[in-house]
Amino acid sequence: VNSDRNAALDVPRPASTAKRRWSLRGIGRPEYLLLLPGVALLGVAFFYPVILLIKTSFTDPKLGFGNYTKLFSSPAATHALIRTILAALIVSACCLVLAYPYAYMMTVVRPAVRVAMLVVVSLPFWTSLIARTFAWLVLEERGGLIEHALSVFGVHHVVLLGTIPGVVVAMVQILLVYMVFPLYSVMSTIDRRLLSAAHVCGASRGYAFFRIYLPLTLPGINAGVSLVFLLTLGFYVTPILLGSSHDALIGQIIGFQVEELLDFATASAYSVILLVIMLIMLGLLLRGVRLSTASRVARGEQQ
Amino acid sequence: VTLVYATPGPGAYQDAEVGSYVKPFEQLTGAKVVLTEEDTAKLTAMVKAGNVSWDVTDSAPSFDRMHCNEIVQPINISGVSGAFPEGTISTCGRPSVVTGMILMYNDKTYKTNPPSTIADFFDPQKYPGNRVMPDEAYGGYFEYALLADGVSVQDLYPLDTTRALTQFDKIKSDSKVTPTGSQEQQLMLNDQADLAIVPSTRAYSVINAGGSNWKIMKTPMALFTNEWAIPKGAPHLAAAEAFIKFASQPAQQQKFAELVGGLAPANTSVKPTYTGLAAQVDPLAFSPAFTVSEDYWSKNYDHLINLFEEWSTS
Repeated sequence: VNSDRNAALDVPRPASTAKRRWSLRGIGRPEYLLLLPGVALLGVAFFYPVILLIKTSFTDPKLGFGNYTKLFSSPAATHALIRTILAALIVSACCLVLAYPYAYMMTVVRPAVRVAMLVVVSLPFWTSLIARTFAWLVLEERGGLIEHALSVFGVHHVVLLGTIPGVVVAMVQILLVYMVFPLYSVMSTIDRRLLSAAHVCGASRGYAFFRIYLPLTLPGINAGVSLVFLLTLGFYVTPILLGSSHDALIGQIIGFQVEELLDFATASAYSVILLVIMLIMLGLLLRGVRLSTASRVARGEQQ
Repeated sequence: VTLVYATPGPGAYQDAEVGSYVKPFEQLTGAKVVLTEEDTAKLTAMVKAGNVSWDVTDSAPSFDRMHCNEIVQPINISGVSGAFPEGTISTCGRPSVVTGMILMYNDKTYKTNPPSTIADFFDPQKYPGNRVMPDEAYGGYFEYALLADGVSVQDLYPLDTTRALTQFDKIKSDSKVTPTGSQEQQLMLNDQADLAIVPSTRAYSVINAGGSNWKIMKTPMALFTNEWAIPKGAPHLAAAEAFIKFASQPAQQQKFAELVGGLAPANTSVKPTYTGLAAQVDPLAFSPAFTVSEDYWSKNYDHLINLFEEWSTS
């Protein structure tokens, strides 16, 4: 293996080099001006409202944590929060299990087939979210296609509409593309000769996959899981249309606080809590991947 | 003068308002009336910012009562003929229309022995099936649950919410609370529901839109009003009061009720003539009919709405 291959292996950097990314060296260079429009837009359209949101949550109607204690003293809100996190974990896991082999196949088939697979997975992406959700509604409802299809196999009266599985199935389909793309983009850069090399060295297929291939795809898994997880946390329309109000996700609770009670302060506090949970989860995901990559690389170097 | 009138938004209701109040008022006075969509969050923001563009609103009374002298202002009108239901006139609001919450069942599900009482609605053993209701707890839900449990109409207030929620717990796994009325209508028309609590105007649309399998249950009726209010700092106060006075008069009230199905005039001296479906969904055609206590609701609004929301989202 030559030095270029080592560089390829190094894509998920060990902790020591990862630190360098945060260096501010060279920030004064003129090309950084190119960032200005984007940063300005984000500042006005994102950071400013978020700061307002945080401020409202702590100061309205009076200074303190009142709006936050409200959430933790409301069983409906805490349950919705836990339900939302669980749903996000389940949807991410299902997407990963479905997308991984799919993305892998995309890297080994002929180019024409790859294009077809690309189109199939991204077709739903070009359709409006509402339209797709309504399509699922028609499939899942009482007397719908899913109930009919299952009754052919002797399983009767399965109505997914209004249940958590019904919501999860639809979210997995809607979000699958966000998992396939990052996985494929990472997998397509992996040199498959690494696997041949592993075989030559005596590794079984399974061993080569788990020790060589899987670790190299970790950045893709990380990106895909983060995207799907974060998108699921904020889902609003799909749970409303396909789920039952009794399984409300946190987005519905926030919407209710604004629409029915005009309680912007409580809604802000709930949103801030959701934001914090997102950041914690994202941090854990990034850290987990980095640690496992670093340890694998370290062990690989010792052997 | 150009008067800005904030109403519940486009649809049969707004069309009837244009036909019965807006156009005649414009012809009579030469003023121009511009319609916009009412939104209490927007109204609150406008008044707090001191930049009010609306002159008259048509919305649920609780909001006006909770924010009288703060978001909306006292109304001074005299000389309206006729009478209004007891307790519907307040310092900052004048009743515009009376609506009700109708119980309905799906004829396809309950072919023989259909449900007929409020207690049947809360009895999933006797009548298994999906129950739907819009997210409008202030429309008599607690009241209905108590009636189902044997409380009489006279003894409803103050509401025994614990007792009411015990009834709701019985149907929890069989019920869906929809965020909008149109979603409820869609579930009903697609036969995804078997029993429903439906606002009377929505009942009219459901049957009109092909839901002839949805039958009306002749049960006690919770009536509640919509009302007119004037935002604090409205640019045309005198014209706003003139508009509300004009629209409250018997002739306009009668025309409005006859133009749209499922509503009754707030002015009780009027006896509109309904034909066909409109007669069936007339909220005053049910007995006993009782008016939801806006006084009690406006004092306990947040508490009651939160209680129902705790139930509906867990």
